Amino acid sequence: MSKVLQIENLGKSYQIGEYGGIGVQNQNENIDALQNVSFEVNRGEVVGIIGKNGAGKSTLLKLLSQITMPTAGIIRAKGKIASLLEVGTGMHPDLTGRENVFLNGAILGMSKAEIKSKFDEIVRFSGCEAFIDTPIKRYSSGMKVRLGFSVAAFLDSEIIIIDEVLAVGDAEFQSKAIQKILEITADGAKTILFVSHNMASVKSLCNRCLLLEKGKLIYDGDIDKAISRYMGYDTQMSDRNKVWITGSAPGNADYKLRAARIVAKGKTFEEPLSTSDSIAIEVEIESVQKAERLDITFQLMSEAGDFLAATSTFQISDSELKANKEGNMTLFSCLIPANIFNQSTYRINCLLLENRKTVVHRFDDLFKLGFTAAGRNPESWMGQAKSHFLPHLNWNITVK
Amino acid sequence: MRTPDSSANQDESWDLIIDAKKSSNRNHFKDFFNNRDLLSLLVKRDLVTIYKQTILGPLWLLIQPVLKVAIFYFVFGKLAGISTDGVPAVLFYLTGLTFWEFFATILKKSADVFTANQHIFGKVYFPRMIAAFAAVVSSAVKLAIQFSLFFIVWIYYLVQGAISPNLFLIALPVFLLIIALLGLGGGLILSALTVKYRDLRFVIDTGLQVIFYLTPVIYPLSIAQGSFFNALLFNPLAPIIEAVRYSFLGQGVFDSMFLAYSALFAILLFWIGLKLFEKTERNFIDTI
Repeated sequence: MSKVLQIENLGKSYQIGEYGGIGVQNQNENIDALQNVSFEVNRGEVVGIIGKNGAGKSTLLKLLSQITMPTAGIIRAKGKIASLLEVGTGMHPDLTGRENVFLNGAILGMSKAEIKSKFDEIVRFSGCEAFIDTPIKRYSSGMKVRLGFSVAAFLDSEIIIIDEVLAVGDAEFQSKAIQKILEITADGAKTILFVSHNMASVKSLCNRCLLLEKGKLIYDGDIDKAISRYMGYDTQMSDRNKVWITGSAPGNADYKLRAARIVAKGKTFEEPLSTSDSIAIEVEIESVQKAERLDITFQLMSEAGDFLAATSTFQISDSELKANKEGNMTLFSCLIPANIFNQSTYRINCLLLENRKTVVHRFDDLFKLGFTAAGRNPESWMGQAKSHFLPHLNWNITVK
Repeated sequence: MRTPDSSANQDESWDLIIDAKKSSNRNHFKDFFNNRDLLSLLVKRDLVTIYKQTILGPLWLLIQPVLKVAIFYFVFGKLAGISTDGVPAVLFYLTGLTFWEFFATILKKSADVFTANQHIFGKVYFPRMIAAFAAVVSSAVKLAIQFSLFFIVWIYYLVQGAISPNLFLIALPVFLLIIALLGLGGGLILSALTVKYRDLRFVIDTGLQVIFYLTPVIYPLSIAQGSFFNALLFNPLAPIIEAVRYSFLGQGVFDSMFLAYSALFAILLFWIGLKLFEKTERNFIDTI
């Protein structure tokens, strides 16, 4: 395999503080956005780059796409690099779709002849055929995004750098875009670097993953392992019994989350959960000063961050949801019957809502739950793909 | 930046090497050649978009100088009674104004490159000089329309026998080149400095007005006398405007020594501008 990209001890430091004013020019405080990053990429690889906000992902992309220069290290590349940090860069609202395809294509590095030869395909892919001679200021935002992505999708560069652009557009277009990227990489001639916060799309596109943390490259390799580390799954089983004292309790000025538990019937908090356990998610809320209606919503997320299900106290009447007066402690308990979950890991978010509309507090990743299989391994009879849920439902079997 | 790698990795041929320790060694001619399509599309964008949704369209390019000349005629000619060296006043002002606008537009457009394209520059890389040059070319095209107005008026007076042009007219391309280099050089320097010091944005308009009055546009150099006259000649634009007027109208000061000074000044200014621009384009996105 041939190397197409070689990064050596790459670093970028920014000067912090105010620029330009009199008296502050001499202040030379620097912050390292990227430090000692080294890696190599071979032809045909699709590399995902993940990390929290401020980890240095954007800085790395900016350096690779030559938007700004590094303060340390060397970047070597073979072939043309195209960066797609945004769709439709440089498109002008007063120009028609046709004129913008040419302008945007040229800005991305295509020649006029190249764009001309691919023009029909680009327009067909965007689905904007009927409006191609209309100024794009009359386009809907979705159409603009589709047109912009379509131009980029036909780039002929050897190395393509993509930043979060798939996060735009509706679900249908997103899946079309992912299909297109898979198609582009299918012949192994193109190399893609892909930054995303959506672990599901990283998982479906990439065959290798880089994890950045505080400007440093802390993991390079297998996607699943990188995602697990990113999610903080080094401690697989998190505490299922959480209690906070007054001072440190999460919440806002009005409501505090004082306790949260996952209770499994007949099990201690330390014993591993099995899919055949019926469990209760419990939270205790203290009303510090207000006495409005307070609702709780639990969101169930997959390990990769997909939103799977939600449940809330909305359907409960005001009288039933006894007014939680000032100083009251209210216990909310949500029962989940046995045999719903699959042998997998889930995350639970908790939202506090006031008067059925205002989110007063949001607690992401309140719990991380892993379930072990009960009895037979479900995979042995459910096929290869693992579903998020494996509920036991009622079957009617009649012999006729 | 796009240099063949000689030191490290001899066994591999890299197309692009970005080294934090080495400064870029730009080949602007190659950049221009490789990005000629982008250049032409950016110029086209500038020209097409300005007059979309206007009724008069490019006619505005002619209305502006006509209005300005009318104002000059009444304020400086009639009210202040400033001499026009025996040249018909309308033609006198139009000559000075056309060439002054050539300088001022190029300077303003190129000074604005980083701020005007900040969004594109933050998302996509292409040689930044392309954007500066596109701004200059599109203003040159717009000015060509104003030049044609000037030529029509000039030919009218020529046929009437009111003026007597001379052979120095063949040096017109040189005059235009010197004016363009002065405008571009000054503009590139300002563009590089505005990235860090936004104050300069306010200085440009006022500064241009000061230079306008220090340049013999609305008055002939011949009425400026003594030490004021000497001071005026240090303005590199003054000898050029006078020389242009001398060759087109037969009236004016033509001093080859001061012209040589202008040319040298222009080349030096352009070179400084180019170097500052190259230095700025590396990291301006962090500052802007």
